[in-house]
Amino acid sequence: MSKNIEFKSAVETSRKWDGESVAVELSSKIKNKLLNPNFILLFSTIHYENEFNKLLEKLNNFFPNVPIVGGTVPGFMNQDGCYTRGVTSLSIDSSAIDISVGIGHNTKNNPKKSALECTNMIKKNFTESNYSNKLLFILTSGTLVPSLLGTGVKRVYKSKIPISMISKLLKTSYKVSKKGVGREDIIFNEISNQMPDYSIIGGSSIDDNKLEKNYQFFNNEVFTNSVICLGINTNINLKLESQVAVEKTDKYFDVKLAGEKYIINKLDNKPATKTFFKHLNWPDSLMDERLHRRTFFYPILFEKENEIFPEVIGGLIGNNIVCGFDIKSDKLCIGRSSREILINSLNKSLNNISKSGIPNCGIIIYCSALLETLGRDFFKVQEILKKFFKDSPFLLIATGGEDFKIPEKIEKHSNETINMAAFLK
Amino acid sequence: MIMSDPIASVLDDLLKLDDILACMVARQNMISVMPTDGTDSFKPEINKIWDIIHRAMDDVFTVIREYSQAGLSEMEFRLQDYDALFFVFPDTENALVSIIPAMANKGLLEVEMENARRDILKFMN
Repeated sequence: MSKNIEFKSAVETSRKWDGESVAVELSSKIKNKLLNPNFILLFSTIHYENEFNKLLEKLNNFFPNVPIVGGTVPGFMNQDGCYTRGVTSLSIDSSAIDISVGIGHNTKNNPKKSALECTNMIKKNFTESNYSNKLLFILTSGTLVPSLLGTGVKRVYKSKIPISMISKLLKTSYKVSKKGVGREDIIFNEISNQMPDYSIIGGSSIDDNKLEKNYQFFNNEVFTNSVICLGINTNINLKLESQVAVEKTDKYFDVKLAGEKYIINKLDNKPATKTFFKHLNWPDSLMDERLHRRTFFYPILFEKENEIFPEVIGGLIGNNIVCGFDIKSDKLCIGRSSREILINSLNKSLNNISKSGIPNCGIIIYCSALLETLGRDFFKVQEILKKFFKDSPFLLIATGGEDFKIPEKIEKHSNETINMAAFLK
Repeated sequence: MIMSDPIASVLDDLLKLDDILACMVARQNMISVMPTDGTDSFKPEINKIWDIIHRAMDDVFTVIREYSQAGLSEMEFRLQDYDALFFVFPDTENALVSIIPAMANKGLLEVEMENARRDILKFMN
């Protein structure tokens, strides 16, 4: 970084319970370090659901001309610690960045339109920006598990339901209850098409992995079923890195999809659920609401343009496997994940970043499935990151799906990945 | 000596999480620290199973007593629809114990249990 470029960043945490106290604590900590933050990225766990309005209003009062964007996440990590209950912020104060923010609504019902709405806002404020390094941070409302048959929110339906009925129920769910898969891949694809010279990093906003609700923040307002973007144009060097925390096995299946492209109807021309369970030697008794905690370790993978796209299995409807986003291949592989694979992927990312320079500040997007599987060992990840970043601030947020793109490469919405963006010294 | 009030506050915070049905600092045959309102602050659904879980906990503490000095840091068991998690305080026979639903997202709860354990350790020392 040039000596003339001023760059300061702050990552702060609050563990207070009420929204106003959180805002007071965060703003005091930010103002201690930054004179004029360009923006505030704000992330909260779902426990503050009834406090978001007060929190944002108060924070906005402290920073009236500073864009505030963010949303709910299941957990986060920074220099202060690891948390699955709390509120965190990341802000930067630099003369060498231009900022723009955008929001799009109604993501599940109209994903492309919401992406356009968001990117149009971003572009409007960037007409006079001349900086060459471009980064977009996006946070999209994630999957909300619907109650398909009026029997409560479930991920596993053992009874056989015709595919045509499943498709109808899911489409109805988008319109009636605004619930269903997040459609983040469609949104990301559109954002990527609209902003082709931007590097993009981000993920899906969810709750505490129950996938029952999620919220997005835009200045002093709280939304749901929205996508928010923070655009950064700068001449500060950026380094982006992406790793999958999954290994391929040598077992491939021919896949037949149902009406929706995220539902697998057949594997090798046989009923998908039965074939998947048989391959893993799992008894039918494992077909219960704890299924997703086991399938974290055995994601489904497809490949496209030399990239691996892991998908966590979201649920089962009879003999159909429901995933989180569209499958773009007619061949699938069963992957394998473990703590060791995860830590190795993280170290690989950090090595690659260190080859480019010393980070001044970093944001890391980390799959919530990995957080759930690590549990207490999440603190081991923090030890690795603290050692790497030393005194420089970093913020890791867990998300329900991850988005990553560098220009001229395929955009990637997937699961079980670790993605980083570092501002370099 | 364990100072009760600040540790009770840590337990009160933990109990605010929906899926923490009960929590305490305990050792064999003894609950060292309860949340501020004692068992009244436990989630009501735990009442029907509390007696049997309490007895099972005591049996687990036999193992913790035996192996804590050798580095045993964590134990857990499932009883009916509930999991009991034990995070052992190093070189002691005490553990932070939480009861959670078996269907809960355990990984996320473990992070907050670890935060509680670290906070309690500061008060113990």
